[in-house]
Amino acid sequence: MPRSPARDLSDRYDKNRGYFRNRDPFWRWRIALSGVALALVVLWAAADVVQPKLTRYGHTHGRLAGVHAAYDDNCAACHKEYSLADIGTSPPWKTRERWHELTCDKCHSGPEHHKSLNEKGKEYHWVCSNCHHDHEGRLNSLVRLNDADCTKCHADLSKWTAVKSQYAEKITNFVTDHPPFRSLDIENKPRTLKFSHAVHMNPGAAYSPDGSGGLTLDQVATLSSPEAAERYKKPGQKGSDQVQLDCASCHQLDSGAGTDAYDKLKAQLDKFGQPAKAVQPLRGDGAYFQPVNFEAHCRACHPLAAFDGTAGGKVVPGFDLPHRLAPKALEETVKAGYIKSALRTDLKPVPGANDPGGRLDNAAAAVGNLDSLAKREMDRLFRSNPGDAEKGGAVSSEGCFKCHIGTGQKLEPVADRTVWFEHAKFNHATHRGASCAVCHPGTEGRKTNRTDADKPEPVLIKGAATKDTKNLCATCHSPNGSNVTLEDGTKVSGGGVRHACTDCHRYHHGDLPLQGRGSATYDPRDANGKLKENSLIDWLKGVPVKDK
Amino acid sequence: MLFDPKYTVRGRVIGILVATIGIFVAGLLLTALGAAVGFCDWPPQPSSPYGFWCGVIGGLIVGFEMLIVFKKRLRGSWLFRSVFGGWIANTRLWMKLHLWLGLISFPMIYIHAGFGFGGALAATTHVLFIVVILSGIWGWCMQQWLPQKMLDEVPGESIAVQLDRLGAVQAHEAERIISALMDVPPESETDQPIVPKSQHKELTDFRDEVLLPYLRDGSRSRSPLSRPAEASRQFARLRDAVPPAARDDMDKLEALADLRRRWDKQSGMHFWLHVWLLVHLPVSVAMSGFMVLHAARALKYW
Repeated sequence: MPRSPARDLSDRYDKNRGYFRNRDPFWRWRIALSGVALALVVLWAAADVVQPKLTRYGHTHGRLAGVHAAYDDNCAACHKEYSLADIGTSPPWKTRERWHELTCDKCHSGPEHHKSLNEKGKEYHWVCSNCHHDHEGRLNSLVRLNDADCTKCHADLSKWTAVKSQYAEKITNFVTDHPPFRSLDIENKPRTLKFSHAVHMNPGAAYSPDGSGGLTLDQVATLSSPEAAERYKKPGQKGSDQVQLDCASCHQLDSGAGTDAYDKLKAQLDKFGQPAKAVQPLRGDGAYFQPVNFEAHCRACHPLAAFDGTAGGKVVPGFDLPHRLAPKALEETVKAGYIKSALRTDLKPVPGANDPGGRLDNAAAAVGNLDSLAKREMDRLFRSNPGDAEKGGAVSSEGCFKCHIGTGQKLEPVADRTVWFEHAKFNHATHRGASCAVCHPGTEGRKTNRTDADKPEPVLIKGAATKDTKNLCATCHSPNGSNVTLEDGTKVSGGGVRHACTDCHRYHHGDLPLQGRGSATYDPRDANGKLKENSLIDWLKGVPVKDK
Repeated sequence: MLFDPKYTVRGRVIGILVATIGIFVAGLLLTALGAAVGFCDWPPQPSSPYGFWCGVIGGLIVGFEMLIVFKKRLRGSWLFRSVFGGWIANTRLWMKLHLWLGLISFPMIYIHAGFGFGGALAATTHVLFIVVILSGIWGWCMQQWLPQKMLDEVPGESIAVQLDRLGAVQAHEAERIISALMDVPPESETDQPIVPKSQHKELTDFRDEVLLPYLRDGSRSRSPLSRPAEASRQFARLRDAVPPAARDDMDKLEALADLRRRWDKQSGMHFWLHVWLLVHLPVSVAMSGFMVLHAARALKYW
């Protein structure tokens, strides 16, 4: 029987009758590749859970700063963890708030933010990461901020403060609209010490640059001591030469420990029993100058001593007086000094009127007593003239009012000017390439007179623009190539040296150079003000406070 | 799916590209406008409420897009039809939503990312998302062009995945035709085959070395028949060589070779019509997985 054509057709599919169910290669490849893709995801998720260090950079948008490198694989060291239970109080769409809910205060603290902030300002400043941006690499500084972090508020301060701030309303840039340095404004804080750089920088501290009538080194040795004269002696000078002071004669950087100049200064202080270590750090960073003080820098030429007196027919010798004493203590010291001198066994009688050195009024002196001597000395130290108070203070060629401002026995306190820029930091050491007069014009010696020399000087510091001066700092600290006009009208090209806000300013009182990092205000404390003490392990692991 | 059938291929491709760029730019402009009136930040911040919701909506779109993998099962599901209605069975509508929502998700995710990439996981997810979008656009453009081209240039088009099997059937048919020329059927009145025995070797050599490999494997066989001119030359030579009674069969064999050549062309087009899916689907799976990881991690710490 012949095969039917249908059977022939059917036989073609013998053993493969379900061919139409076979998947095509594209389908198989799609499934295989999708399986590989899914496996990769699962692998990542597994590594995330089992070996978080393998994926530590997987979830951040950048490496942590070097100071936080220990927390690279430990998000919870700084970030607060959330669970489903937190949705009610902290909904996930407030992502930014969640993200910035940090626990910095486990290790850090700082003084209160500006008290003048309004609620909006407080809320903003409460979040550390609004200004301190991490995850920007190991070399990123968390305290060297972009200007925008500062100008966010300072470009229009009124929006962020509840009461009028003491700071300028608008500051957008150091070069363009930085306000005058408030520290240099002495109208509201008059200087309380009379000192003339013009006189002291002249030869022999004379009134004219030719040095006529000036002080010689031999005179300094007589007035004070040979050691003091030696200290001011320049190479090649003789004893008969006039004293020539320079800036470093009185202004020494705080990094000077171990140098010859420092050792001489310390010896000078030790000689007068002054607390040298209290006023001189062992080794600073050279940012500031040590305080100028009477004992170290003035006394060699301006000795402070009670004069010889007479009492009970004897000559009572004078004696050195200490500085920095309140009037009452000084009076007692003077009395004690005269008593001590009167007890000496080698007192000489008051010369008669016809004896060598005798005085016609010695009779009165011979009958004087120690109390009157002390009173006379106090009167001399605090000598003032009628009407001094109306003229702004006493003027005297000796005693306290030679230098101090005041009336009666009251001296105006002398401000500690170790740091002039109280709201910023400045480093003299990094600027030592320029001569002092660049930033302190007017401190050079020149002809003057006693009247002018006895007046308080203006502040001889030039910096950022004041109401009277151009922005000298901007000569270097401005964008490279920008136009800077100096005080004399000279136009120069900006030096390109860094000029960000945080190059000078710090926050959290770090901008107060004497109350910056390392002060107790930076110690982490809990809500009750109790000091938090992290062990090394706590610290390295960034253990959340709640887990401790 | 055709972008708009009334346009030419070029018009449709340009339309897709313009739509993609237009939606992207519109998303950015809307955001910029929102920033101008204080609704959101500029540049947009991923952690802002606006950035967050863009991410959430973008994520939901991605979730819907991935449902297309299970489309056939879902549209047959009673549960799905009950919940989502009859449109779930409408493939055309589903595909429209897949395409247009996919384009809308592009600016949303870009805005959610704050025009950046973030950490390694977020950056990986973002890069994969861009690859998914680009491969999808590539595939969509291919869909505008190749089906029409196939219709125009491949008469006798067949199911692409069955072409090799059809080739085998054609080879079987060719084998049968040639055997009929060389064999003497029992019911024949003569004992001579149509093609004389002296030409059998030439015919069998052509069948075994040239024709059948080509019909079975197409251009993969490297047969000279894959080149139309060479095929015409070879079949012309055979027609001249065989008796006139066999020439019609030679024409049939040539027609089989021609059809196989068209199928080869169809295979090539089919490859380009579907190869983008080898990128689109696996990368979509990876992107979706990483997106879930990113969201979980983000919600834990952010």
